[in-house]
Amino acid sequence: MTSQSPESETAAEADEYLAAWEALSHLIMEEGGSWSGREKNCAYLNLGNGRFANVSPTTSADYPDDARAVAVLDWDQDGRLDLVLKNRTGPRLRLLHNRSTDNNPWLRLRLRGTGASNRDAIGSLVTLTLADGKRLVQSVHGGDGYLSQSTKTLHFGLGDGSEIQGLQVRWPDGQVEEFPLPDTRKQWLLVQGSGVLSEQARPALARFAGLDPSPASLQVESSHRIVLADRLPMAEVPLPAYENAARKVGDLSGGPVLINMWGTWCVGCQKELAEFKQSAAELSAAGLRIIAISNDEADQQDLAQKRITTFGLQDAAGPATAEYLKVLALLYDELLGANAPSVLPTSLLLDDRGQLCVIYQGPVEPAQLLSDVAALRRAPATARFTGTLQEGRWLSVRVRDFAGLANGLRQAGLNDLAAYYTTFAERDAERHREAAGG
Amino acid sequence: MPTPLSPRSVPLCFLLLLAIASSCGKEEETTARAEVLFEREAARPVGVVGENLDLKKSSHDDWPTEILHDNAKHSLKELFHAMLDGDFDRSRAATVLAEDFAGASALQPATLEVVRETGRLQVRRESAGALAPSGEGGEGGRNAFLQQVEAMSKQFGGKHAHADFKIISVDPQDAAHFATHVLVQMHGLEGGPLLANMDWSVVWSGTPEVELPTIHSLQRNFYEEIEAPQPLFAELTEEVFGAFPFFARDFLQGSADLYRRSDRLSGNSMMGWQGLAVGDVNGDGLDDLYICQPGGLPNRLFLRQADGRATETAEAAGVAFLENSRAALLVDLDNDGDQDLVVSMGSHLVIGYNDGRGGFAGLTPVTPDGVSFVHSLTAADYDQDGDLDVYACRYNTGESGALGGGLPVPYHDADNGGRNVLLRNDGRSAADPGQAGRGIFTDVTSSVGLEQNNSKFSLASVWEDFDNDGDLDLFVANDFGRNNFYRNDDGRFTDVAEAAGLGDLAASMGATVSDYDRDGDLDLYLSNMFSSAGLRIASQEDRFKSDNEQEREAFLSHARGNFLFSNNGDGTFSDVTDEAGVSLGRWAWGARFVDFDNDSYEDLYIPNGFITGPDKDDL
Repeated sequence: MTSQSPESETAAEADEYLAAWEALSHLIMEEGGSWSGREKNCAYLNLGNGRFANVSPTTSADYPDDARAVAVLDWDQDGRLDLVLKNRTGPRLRLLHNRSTDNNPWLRLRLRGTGASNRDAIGSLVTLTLADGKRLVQSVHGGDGYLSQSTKTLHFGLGDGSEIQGLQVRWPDGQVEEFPLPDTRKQWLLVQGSGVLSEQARPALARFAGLDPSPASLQVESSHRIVLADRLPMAEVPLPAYENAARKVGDLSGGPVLINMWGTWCVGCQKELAEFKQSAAELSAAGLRIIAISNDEADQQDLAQKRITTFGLQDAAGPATAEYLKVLALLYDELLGANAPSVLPTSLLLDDRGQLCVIYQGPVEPAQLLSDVAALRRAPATARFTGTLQEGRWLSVRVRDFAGLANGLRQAGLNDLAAYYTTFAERDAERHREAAGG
Repeated sequence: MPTPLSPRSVPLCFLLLLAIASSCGKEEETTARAEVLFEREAARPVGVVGENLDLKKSSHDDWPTEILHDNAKHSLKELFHAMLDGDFDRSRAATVLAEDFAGASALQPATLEVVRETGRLQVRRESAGALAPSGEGGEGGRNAFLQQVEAMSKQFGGKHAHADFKIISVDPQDAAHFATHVLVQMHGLEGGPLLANMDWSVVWSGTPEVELPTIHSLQRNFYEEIEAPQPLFAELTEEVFGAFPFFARDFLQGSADLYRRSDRLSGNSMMGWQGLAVGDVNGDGLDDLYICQPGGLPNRLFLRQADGRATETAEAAGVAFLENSRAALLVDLDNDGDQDLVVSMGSHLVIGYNDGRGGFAGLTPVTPDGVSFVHSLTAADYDQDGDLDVYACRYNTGESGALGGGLPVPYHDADNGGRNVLLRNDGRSAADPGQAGRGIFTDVTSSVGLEQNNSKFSLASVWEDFDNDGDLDLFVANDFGRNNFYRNDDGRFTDVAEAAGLGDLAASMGATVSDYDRDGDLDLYLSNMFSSAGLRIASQEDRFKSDNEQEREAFLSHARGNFLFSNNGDGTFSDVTDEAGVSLGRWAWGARFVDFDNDSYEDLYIPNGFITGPDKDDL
């Protein structure tokens, strides 16, 4: 049933198709375009006669988010099913408390398989027989929907209260078992083969019913602290100075360094520099050296040099040269992608071996710097990873595309730096071979 | 006259039409010196025609009816502004009525039947049956129509009144008229109390050059009112999670902002494909949440506390993974009574075994054959040997980006996607007692028959005994084409989608199961793409060559929206989408059945939306 793609018959048609996708991708990724954007989530009410009514706006859950996944559970155990949403757009997590005004009875059943059934009883089929002869059927799932797993506790709404006349479980191993009739508005545990119900007391959180909504809202942060997944060696990167034009990052050996990019016209930069000055003693005691690089035009560098003196950072300061900015832009492309915002101020935190560990976009608080420097000191000297700088851990080895970086530098005529980064590409190839062998 | 498109160019145009909502806005230029670190040249698309492709223009050039659509949209907006912006603006409403007005049926039927009442929520609709009779034309008809518009304006208008509408077909009639099919949803006051769902056929007077066409006639096909004195849901996100210092950074920013500010090495993308799992991790009887996060941000484990707020324990529990994680499951893989964790990352899975107290030890990587992007995960005991096996949907043949491993070919029935895997849990028979029999998973995809039609762009799966023979069948929702329905016969699978009535071509993204009609068997709801633009163009038969009918139907099916399949009781299905009235999601990800009001009839919640960019221009 596999059909050959008619569109791939000629190279020209395939190219056209590819180009359309690329144009769309470009539009969305790089130009801020929308594709089926601001689409509201929908809710349908089952009318009980095979039909549904679109009630979306009356739920207040018709968010225009780029929603992705929804999971269902009774978070507050009040007998009504709540929703948890994951979104692409911010806020990326929402919890919705069900406030239905119905007074319908309900029943929660927790199943436990034994013997040849899996313990979670996934695959069990539960049938409730009601007085009117109708049946309610539900099964236990281990994940459904999209990127989602909802609760494995079965939740039966019971409508207008028709009496339960039968409770049957078909367990995953095929055993069919009848259980006694449960009281409603309670949670019961059903253990396979036991033939009995045991109540699981789950008092509802009374306070939830009276809480005012506390919705999350999109937040756009003005400062960003970007911890790299792997330290980036920068020792051979030129670092312009007012006094020593040939200086490289690696010349600043002996402790952590903050390269701070600023400008005389940049108000936020100078506010940040003033804060550095206020905390100069603590930062210095922590062993952090701050190298201020002014982004001013050449004819403003005299002013920049004077101004940086007022912040007490004149000793190792320098002007951003065209070559320096070109190198930074290429490093940015590799580190953050070609569409990463580049803002002032930006600061780069390097370890004592001249390896970049953290990029701060926007102003960074001295307290954050002190905490990060301390975290760097705690990190093992040989570690490639900056695990101490943030919560969490990498399970996998992340291998940077040093060959690609070297290639970009070479194309920009920066052959020495290209050669420098090529050595890391070779180092990583060696690591790969070792990993494959071991 | 538009010329028929060649079959080859149809998929391309279809794609562009689906994306018509996009626009090519540029950020504002400022004259003051920008506070940027360095200026960069704008990146350009590298495609063959990409540099010169004006999406909107090419769409409109190929499909002149889209111009008629835009014009009708302007006029409908005028009408709804006249109705809902403050006091009724009769003269503004009158501007959308044609000189040759031929009559309209009443916008609201004289009588409504209460079809559902649950708590204080009430659904009223007109009884199905004869078409609403048309009113007179001419001046008298115009006045009568405006009176009805005014009556609705009084009923719905006010501070938070709003009307959403979609034009799902455009058919030119003669030189001066064109017909449209319009779905309208109007509601007054935020979140209620009153909502109206309407379905109209509107014939317009106007040529493509007329930017504000006027209503020649209007036929009411359906009217429904819902009264809901209070919103069904109260969002308590800040109450439950807001106290965490990381919450704003990790959850309030959008994926695009996170992506642009994360190390590319973290394998991040801006697509927002990160899901969640519910399970009782610490064994206190309350469900907890494991939340997948983009690369560079730790996944989060939120335990429900006694007061209803969450505590966060991922780091302490050893599961604060920084890899770009997509799906997770909390299931008991080793049958020791606690919830183990499965997380998908790239083409791999990682399994963590619960130590019984909510900590995870013995992390086991599972790396199936081939490189392909894992989306959803499900667990089920397909072979009834007493332990849970894991099925992973793998989208495209790459690990990065939206379509990093290649574009779907052909678009409407692609067969070059990733390879899904069924991993059999062999924990119990493991030879190594030191591992307590854990972590042995065998890729049995081929040997059980699941290699059949296994190169789709799969996004989700669901296990259910659809044919009621005692074992679990597997449904797989695929983007860009047909889905899979694997019938399980003693642990061997056969794809019987076509024979079971599930052979439709669509862009499926999710599947959910419920006995929605309470007839004792389990039914299937699929979340697909709904595109009014796609519907508008794919419905135009004369624009497709006659030998291309199959493809046209495929595109129509792709744009139609969600599907509801009612189980016939034997594992074959009937498409009941239209009579149930549940086709309209939008760009619908994993919809879920959930009984909102405990009335025993399961309702539906549908997450929607693909990519929202900063540009405001949209459909």
